[in-house]
Amino acid sequence: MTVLWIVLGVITFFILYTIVIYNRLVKMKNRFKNAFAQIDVQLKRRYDLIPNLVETAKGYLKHEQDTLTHVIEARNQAMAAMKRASAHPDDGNAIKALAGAEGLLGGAMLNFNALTEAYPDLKADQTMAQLSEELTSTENKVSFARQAYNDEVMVYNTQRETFPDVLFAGMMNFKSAELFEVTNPEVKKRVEVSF
Amino acid sequence: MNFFGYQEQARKNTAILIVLFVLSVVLISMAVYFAMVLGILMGQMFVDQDTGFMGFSANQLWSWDVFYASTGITLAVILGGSVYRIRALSEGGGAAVARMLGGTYLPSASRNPLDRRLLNVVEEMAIASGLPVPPVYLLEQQGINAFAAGFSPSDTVVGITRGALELLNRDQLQGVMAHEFSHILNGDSAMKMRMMGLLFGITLVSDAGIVLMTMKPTSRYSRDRGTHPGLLVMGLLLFVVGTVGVVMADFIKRAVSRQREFLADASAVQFTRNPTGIADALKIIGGYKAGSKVSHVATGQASHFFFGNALKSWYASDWWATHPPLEERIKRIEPRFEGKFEKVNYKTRSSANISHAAAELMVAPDDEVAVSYVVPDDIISRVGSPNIESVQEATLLMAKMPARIRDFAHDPYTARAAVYALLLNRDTQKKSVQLQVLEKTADPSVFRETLDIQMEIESLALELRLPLAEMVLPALKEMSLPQYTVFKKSVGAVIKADHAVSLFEFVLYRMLIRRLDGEFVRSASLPIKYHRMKTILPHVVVVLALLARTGHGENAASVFTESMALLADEGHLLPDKKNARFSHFDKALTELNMAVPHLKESILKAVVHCVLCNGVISVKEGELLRAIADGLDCPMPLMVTG
Repeated sequence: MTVLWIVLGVITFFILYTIVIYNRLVKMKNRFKNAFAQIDVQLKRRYDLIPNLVETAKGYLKHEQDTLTHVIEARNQAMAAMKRASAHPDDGNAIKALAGAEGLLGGAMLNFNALTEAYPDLKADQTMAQLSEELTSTENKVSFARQAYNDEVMVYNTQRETFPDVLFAGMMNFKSAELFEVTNPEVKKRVEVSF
Repeated sequence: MNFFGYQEQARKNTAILIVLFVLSVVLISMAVYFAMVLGILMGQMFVDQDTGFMGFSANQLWSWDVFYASTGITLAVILGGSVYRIRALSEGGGAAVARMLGGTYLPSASRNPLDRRLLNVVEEMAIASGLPVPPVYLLEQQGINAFAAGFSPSDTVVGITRGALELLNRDQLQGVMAHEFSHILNGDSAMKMRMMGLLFGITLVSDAGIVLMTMKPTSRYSRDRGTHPGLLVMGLLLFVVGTVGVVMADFIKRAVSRQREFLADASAVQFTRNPTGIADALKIIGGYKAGSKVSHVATGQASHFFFGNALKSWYASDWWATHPPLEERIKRIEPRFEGKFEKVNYKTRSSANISHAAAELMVAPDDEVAVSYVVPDDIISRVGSPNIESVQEATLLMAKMPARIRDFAHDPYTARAAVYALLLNRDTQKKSVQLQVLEKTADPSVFRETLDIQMEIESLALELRLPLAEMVLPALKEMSLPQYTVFKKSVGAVIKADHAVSLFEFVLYRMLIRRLDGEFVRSASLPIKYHRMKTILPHVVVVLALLARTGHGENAASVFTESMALLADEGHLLPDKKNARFSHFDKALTELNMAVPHLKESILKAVVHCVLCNGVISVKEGELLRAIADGLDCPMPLMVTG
């Protein structure tokens, strides 16, 4: 009789404990997936603003087509990467790809901004000023949302790696999540474009 | 019956729920016992006859040993499961339910026209009814359905399916949301959360059976001959027996929540004064192929949260379902309904809807509101029962809110700046002190945003300040914990910087932080601590004394005595000024929130008397009342003031 007691007791405990671990990981995974929604909205806004900015600048920068197309290309690539990432925020590769594309876009924008410095007329343009101000504010919002996302990813990854969760995480297909970190574009490029 | 009555009723429903739960546990324990006996008997057929199986002999039907074992294990599973689930739910709040159902957060800054329409409808309804604006979750489901979940208004979220978002027009959406808000106001959402936690344990037995059947062989015996047939049979039996629990769980849902669906429908009609909105939504569900189905593994556990039947099980006839049949619901709203549903074509309907939503965003709302001035005596009856005037007033207010401030409020990044600006003193000198403190504590770019918006917020009409504080909540809840910690610290610093806090500012601050702490620090719903006026009176004295002092100056003593007379016989005198402190006021309000609903009703009456003894409600007094009522979790609708 005691054998039955012990066996069933252990089984029950094992089942309950597995459920606890599984649910905890699911909860944390959902949290960071949801945090991505916030980034998504701001990035969309940013990708909408950039073409307007380029369109406004076009009139002043007739001889700088290269830089402009470069910005638009980088923006399109980043947008494609974002679509993939927002469908699966738990896919580390998609996040990495998005971070890479964002880095390139940041570089392109840096070049673009450096360029505008050289055209006082463009800098004085009202629409241009308004758009770049909104872009800056949107970029701040992106990085704030990214910080929130990274905080949630950290919580998830830490939980995933603690004992005993680490034993089950692989079995239940909880992969470690990727931080969304954009490497700052290199400043030396600016020199290359200035003249 | 009024708000307080419905709250009491919801509490009684919780009591019924617990009785039914205990009954189910007894039934399941018995069923498990007999299943075990059967399993053991059958197990014996496969094992050597002379040793028996686990010392159990064939001619015994009742064995205390087996009874203790089975009951012990059943109780452990059920109670363990329920306790665990209730704890997890009170930690995660309504958002946990939404996420469990596969919902994703719909950012309040979204610019998609359909999203925008939904977010606006939710925001207007919340502000109209005096509830904090709940975060919205979207379920990627074709069926048309919606739900509201949460223990208290701070952790309540609303969810809606993609099908509902794309197929319902604004009026229908409003009808559905009014139904969900009625659930929140009537105290059903909290009751449903408790129900979900308790029922989890009951359905766990059947889950345990599944695990037992699929267990991998471990002992020497099973490695030789595969899974012990006894275990296999026992698992199967446990699963079958567990079905008793699954069916019981559905029965409990039916018994407790079905009647509340009619109530919510009726309240929704009363709320929007537009029976066609909700009736049409129900009709569309009836004529739509996917109906109100929500196909998700967790639907079964959460079926009682939904607007319409989210799932159909093999044994469920209409009588047994968690929701009354569609036809009956429509007939109660539109008695002439003949039960014919028009076929709904997804494509044509959704594309028409999308262009409508985009067009709506361009149109400014109608400026005409049927004015119904509030008489102080009416205020209590209005608690928890908002009407269409409140909604129209909210729509108007939202239109009056400058677009820039609205955008600020909808984004977690700038919403912080809006809150800081809201807390700035109007006195220039005090303000500059506050700004200096803010510059040190807050993020520099947020500080710049604050400077940017502060003039606009300072000139904001008084009646827009509380709604703004309600609007920022969903966005602020999107911060991560480290981000919130910094935010809370800066808010505290700004408040303390100028040594003058007005009563309204204090209540506003209290509302914000209470709601956000509910999200980040997570506290379960408050227990009921006070059943009798006598025990709670000292706390009432603190609140009324401060209100009388700040509002009536010289007349404070007489106003205080008058208001107290509404609650107790003896003539109470205004206590010494020494005791009047915000920290005491704060603590007293927290205590008052732990009173039973009918006590809250009387207390609120006295508060109303104390704030408005001259019989006219100014905007400021109205907002102060709403903020205090919010502290007692008694949502006071927006009042049309003169």
